[in-house]
Amino acid sequence: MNLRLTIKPEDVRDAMPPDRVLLEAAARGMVVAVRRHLREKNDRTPPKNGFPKSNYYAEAADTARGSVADGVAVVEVGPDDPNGPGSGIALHYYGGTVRPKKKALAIPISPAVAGMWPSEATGVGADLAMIWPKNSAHGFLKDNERNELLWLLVPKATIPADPDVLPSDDEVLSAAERAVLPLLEGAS
Amino acid sequence: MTATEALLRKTLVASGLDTAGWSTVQAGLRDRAFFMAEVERVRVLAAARKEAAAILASGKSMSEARRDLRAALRADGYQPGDDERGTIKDLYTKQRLDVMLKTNVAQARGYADYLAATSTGALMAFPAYEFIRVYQRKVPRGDWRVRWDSAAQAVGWQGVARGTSRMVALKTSPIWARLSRFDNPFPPFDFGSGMGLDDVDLTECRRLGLGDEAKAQKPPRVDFNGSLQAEVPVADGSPEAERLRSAFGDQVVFDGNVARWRGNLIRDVLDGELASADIGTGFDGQPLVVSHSALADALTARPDIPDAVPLTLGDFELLPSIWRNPAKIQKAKYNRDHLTLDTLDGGVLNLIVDPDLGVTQFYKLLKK
Repeated sequence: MNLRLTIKPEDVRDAMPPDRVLLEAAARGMVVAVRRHLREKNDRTPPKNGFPKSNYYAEAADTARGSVADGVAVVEVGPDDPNGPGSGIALHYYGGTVRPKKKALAIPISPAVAGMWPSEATGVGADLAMIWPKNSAHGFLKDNERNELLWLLVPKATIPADPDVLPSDDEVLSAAERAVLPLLEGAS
Repeated sequence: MTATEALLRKTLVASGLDTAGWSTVQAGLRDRAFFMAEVERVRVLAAARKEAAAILASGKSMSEARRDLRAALRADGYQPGDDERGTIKDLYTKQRLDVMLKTNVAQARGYADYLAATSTGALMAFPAYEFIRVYQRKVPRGDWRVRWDSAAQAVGWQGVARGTSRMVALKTSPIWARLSRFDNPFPPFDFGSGMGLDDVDLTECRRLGLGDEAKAQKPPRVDFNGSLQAEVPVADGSPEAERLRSAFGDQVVFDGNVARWRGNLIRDVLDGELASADIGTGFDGQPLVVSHSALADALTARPDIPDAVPLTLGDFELLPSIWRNPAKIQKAKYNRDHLTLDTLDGGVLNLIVDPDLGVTQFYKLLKK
């Protein structure tokens, strides 16, 4: 007669941490990978000529968050409301065309107005004039008092897709797996 | 909890206290307050919180938030003092608005992330944080290493990695709150700080000598208000209670020997955690108790008031203000008082109070 031991799948499952705990670890692994990737991209991205560094990708990294819902681990990057208007980071990843709500998009061309919309400048009393040469594809907003061109006006802006905004799916999956493994090793 | 929810769980608290003064308020109380140093105007606080929430919830730009907050300040009639104009005390300046918005947004994100990072599974996989520079600054603070060592010493190196140049500690180590100017175990650790956190996995923790402590870590306790900070007993009538009353008036209440914000009580009533709460002394010197049913009614659509617009959280928190200092008082049917107060988002709050029944109606109309 042989000695025989049997293990059923439920025996193994009972020895493992609950699914939710594993998914929390996986979600965190994904968040850590995405955040590190975005921070490294931020470090590599130089500021525009003469402009202060915008830290755009570092700020995006701060919005990265993981959650567990309906039996899956999810990582998101961007504002809390997924249906809201404002995720610039998705635009950078997927690419797309930005069209103005009003007449034109305003792109700062002077460091003095870095991160500032014209409506904010006029709100603090700036005297702005629009200059749009005939038959030109673009125009400018000028500060009359300082006689300085501050914003470039364009009818639209096309952002190319940049898959480097996020780590690859393989990298994210590996990060999730690496996060979960110690929990399995430590299961008793 | 999302970052937006983390922000909105803080109630508006108006006070003339400066930053140093606020830092002496117990963390458990401060944690649940949305405040701006030396700002005593509740409507301004409501507008500021609304803009910070919009940045978190929908990605509103800082520029639009500053623009709209300046418009709210003008609508409130705010003017800086002559010696404040152009300085960080001037609420119109970019410097002041940026510090306020960025700090509140970062704290809300930091808090929400801390809760996620210390969930059971996340804590097992990544038991520690490393304190690193995340944002470059034109003039970085050069003293973080000194602050780290000093904080580690102060907490007896509990959960802190030793014998390494890296600044690593277990997520539940008391060093994080000790390091923080705000007493929080999550970023930001100071105004405008570019320092942040990176998770450290269990393998690395073992290598740094934190393996055993890492295994013993438990997720931090979070109370039903979503607060990490314990409420500290403050006996009514004690010098501490008098100090709080002096700074905050009737915005602070003493509830079973614990100091709480009246605004939090109103929120708890709105959420159904409490059946009712006293919203303070009114224009006529009388207190007013609001019930959950009265506030819940205010949330439902009003077919009898077709021009009514939905009430916001900030509107409910203005209940003490409209009761204490209404813009207009009229007599309504059945000898009820009909009080109104303009909000900074173009609305007019209407509160109708029956001398016997209390609040009978609370609604908002758009200003014509």
